[in-house]
Amino acid sequence: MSALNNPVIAVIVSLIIAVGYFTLVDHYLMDMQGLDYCTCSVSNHQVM
Amino acid sequence: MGLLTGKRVFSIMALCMMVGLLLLPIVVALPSPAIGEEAPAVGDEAKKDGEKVEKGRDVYYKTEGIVVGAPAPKTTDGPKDYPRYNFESRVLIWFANQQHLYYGSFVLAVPIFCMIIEFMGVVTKDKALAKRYDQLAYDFIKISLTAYSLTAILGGILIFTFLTLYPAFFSYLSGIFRPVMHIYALMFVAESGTLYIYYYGWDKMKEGFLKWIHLSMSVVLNVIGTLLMFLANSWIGFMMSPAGVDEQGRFLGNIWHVIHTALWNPLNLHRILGNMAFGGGVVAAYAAYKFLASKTDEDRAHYDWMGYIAMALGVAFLIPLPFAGYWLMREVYAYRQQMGITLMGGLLAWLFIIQATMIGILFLSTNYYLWQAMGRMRGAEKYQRYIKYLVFLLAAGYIVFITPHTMVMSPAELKAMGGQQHPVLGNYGVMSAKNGGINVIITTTVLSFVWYMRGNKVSTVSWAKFGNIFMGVFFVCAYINIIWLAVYGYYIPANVRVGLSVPQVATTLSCLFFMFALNSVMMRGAKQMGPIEWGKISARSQYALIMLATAFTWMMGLMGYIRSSVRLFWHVNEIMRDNSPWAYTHTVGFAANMISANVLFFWISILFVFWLGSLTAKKVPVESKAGIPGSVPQPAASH
Repeated sequence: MSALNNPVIAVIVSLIIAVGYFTLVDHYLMDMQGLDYCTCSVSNHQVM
Repeated sequence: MGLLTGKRVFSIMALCMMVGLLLLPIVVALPSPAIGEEAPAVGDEAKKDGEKVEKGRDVYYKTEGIVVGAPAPKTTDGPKDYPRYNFESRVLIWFANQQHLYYGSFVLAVPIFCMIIEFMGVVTKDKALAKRYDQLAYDFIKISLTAYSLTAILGGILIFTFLTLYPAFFSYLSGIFRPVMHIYALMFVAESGTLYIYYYGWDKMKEGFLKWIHLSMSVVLNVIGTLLMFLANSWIGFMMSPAGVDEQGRFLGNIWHVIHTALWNPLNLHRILGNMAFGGGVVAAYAAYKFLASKTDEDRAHYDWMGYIAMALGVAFLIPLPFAGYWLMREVYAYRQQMGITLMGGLLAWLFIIQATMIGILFLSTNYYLWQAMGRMRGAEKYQRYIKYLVFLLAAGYIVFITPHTMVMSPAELKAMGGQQHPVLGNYGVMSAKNGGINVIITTTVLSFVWYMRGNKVSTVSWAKFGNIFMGVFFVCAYINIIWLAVYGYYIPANVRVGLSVPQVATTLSCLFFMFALNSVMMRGAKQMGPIEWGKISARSQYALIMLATAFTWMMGLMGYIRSSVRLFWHVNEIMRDNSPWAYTHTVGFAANMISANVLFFWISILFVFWLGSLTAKKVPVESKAGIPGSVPQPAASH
């Protein structure tokens, strides 16, 4: 636990957890709706 | 001892009676599926008599059923279908409906607060604190009781207004809902009976087992109240998205289909949350008013605390409210895409810009109150220097959230700008940007709450440093994810873009649930820098509470108008046409004035209710005050 209280290690561990979590949330929730998260099409520029 | 046993028996009997009252309408309703079962019976009889059985197809469920009701009347503009005074009937019905709704929402929300606060009082181990919670719950129900009578009176006025001004429509609607109309009336009787026993039994059932019985009564009371609201919601749900009838509006015998329309459940959820947020706002405004009028430190401390609790409960229900709104809109689009377009992108779209403005004001007021409230706790100064960054985030989110997609302009302005959409600002008027804006605002509100909750505390857990860094990183990543998804939405097809709102909402809710939970764990056994000095808060904060309540009231009026207007020239969408001279959509200006008049009337009348309540003010027991150290009571040392 003392290693985790080192600010550098704490930031790195926190970043890994937070980035991993939000990436998972983004992909999983789009998949759940039957949508592809990685669909990228510049030609379909915002119209809504 | 004998007296105590007698009280116990009596209270258990009272509780059983309430449950009985709750179940009574269901028992009475058993013959009402009778309407559903009557249909085959009618069919059998008709067969016997050699008559032709007429069948119809449900406009929503697409099931076949035997016609048991009359078609929707085809009205004409005249004294028979639309009798009138020398005034616009729609304005009169609008006023009666809105006032009944305001009071109805208030008296349904406050007993739920009461139940929560009474429960907190029962489970808390600190006796002085428990007494203060109990007193607070009692204060809440007392306010609600006076308002309850007014709600019933306004309900009567509403029915008479319908009967007088819209007899054909009211006759059709009450014919469709005939099997549940009497249930509604019985539920109302049950609600009244339960409320009066609950209120007048407060002192008799204040300790031990009897207190639990009393608490159970509040649960029964709220179940009845919620069911009442669900029934009322089924009427507006039917008017917007009818079901259980054929295309001529003839009832097909299944009352559940009529109640359970496409929009019923989203409306139920949206209204529960809305009522709670509204009720919290009104009680907070009441406390703010009493705070500002207080002459002693003790009173100021009490009403400061009351305002905080009411505000916290109201905001707890405000945070999920936009998401419930998204669900409702999604169902509206699924039911009739045209209806959704009329709301969000057509005739009523400008009202949504006003709505966005009001939502933003609600969150800005909440945050401002919390920052001011940090001033009453020692140790919270450490967060003050970061508040400017929160102000920036809130302001940025707010500006994006209220930016319209297209502007109403004169031809000269249109020419000067090169189109209806501003070349730069127009980009922020789309859903991608707005979703990002509102999620940034809500996440910032969550962060303000977290800071408030740990304001005067220092965590003593061994991993405190890691915990603090993790919370900071999690919030930063959440902001980045929300903004990233908002930007990403510009580069993907519209059908995929709509789905991005789900991970955005999930990001905000993750902050709410995980960070609150983590903060609570970290603050367990935390070192206190000093007590919360209730009553030592700026007067400005109390005006923020009043602002919060007024904004809630105004927004409720606005949203009610939008929801009702989306039917355009229909009494019952696509079933019964409105042929009165007022079957058109008002201008935004007229609607705003009408909403403001309703808000003004409500606040004047509720002030009267508050004044009436103060005439029978029950003083806080002296011992509960004396037992608390310090110059002012510190009722909620922990949040």
